[in-house]
Amino acid sequence: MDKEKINFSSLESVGNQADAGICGPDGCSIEDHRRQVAKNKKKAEDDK
Amino acid sequence: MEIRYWSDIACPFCYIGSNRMKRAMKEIGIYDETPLKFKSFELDPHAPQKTTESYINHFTRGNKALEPQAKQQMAYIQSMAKGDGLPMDINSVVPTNTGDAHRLIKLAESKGDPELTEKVIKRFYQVYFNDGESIADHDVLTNAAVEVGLDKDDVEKVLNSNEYHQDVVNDESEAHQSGIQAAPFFVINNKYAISGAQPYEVFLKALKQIQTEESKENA
Repeated sequence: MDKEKINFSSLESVGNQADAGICGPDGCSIEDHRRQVAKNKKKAEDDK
Repeated sequence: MEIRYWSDIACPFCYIGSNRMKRAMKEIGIYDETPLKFKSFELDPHAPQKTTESYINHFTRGNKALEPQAKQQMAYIQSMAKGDGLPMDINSVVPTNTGDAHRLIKLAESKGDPELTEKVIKRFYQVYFNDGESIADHDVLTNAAVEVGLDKDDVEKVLNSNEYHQDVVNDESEAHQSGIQAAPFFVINNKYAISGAQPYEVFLKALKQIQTEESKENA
């Protein structure tokens, strides 16, 4: 075991977490991909 | 600097994210001197030892309606990996249990050779994401572990016992007690957190910032 446990609440988050791919017990999530697909769709609609 | 990260061999974003972290560490010249500790985080500790299930079925949890979206996501993951130079054949993945792989990573760590541990982790990711073989199969695990430098007798002893299981459980308990619910999750100097396979530039910027702060503190 590590000598120091994490004090999770005191951790400072670095980076935009919404841009990241993560995997949890319910599967993997690709927020960035979803946003990109939505953005492309909107652009395609705007271009019409 | 000290970096720990919770990860699973069955987690594509852990494969990609940890590679980006290592690349960023190398870029700022701290890779050889900075401990990068792998902490176990099994996404599905109850995954089967054997399966005939396809990865897409596993991805959608059997919901056929989700298949088009899942295919798109899997293709995106594969393109991310290939963009980073990581071999990946996501359609060949055999979604089995990663518990024994985690125990062998603990065996590698016990040898006190970080390079050996990295080789074992990297090889196991390749087995899972590129070789189309089951990471739960003892023959596959033994061949992969021995190929990168672990002793065959040591590997077989671990696989034929429960050795290091408690270490895996301890890592996961620590994650759950700390509120970590997804992987990869990086903790730097017990102060900063990076969640997920962030873009490479995010890892690089964060490490540079922390390195600068450390320099000021030590001045």
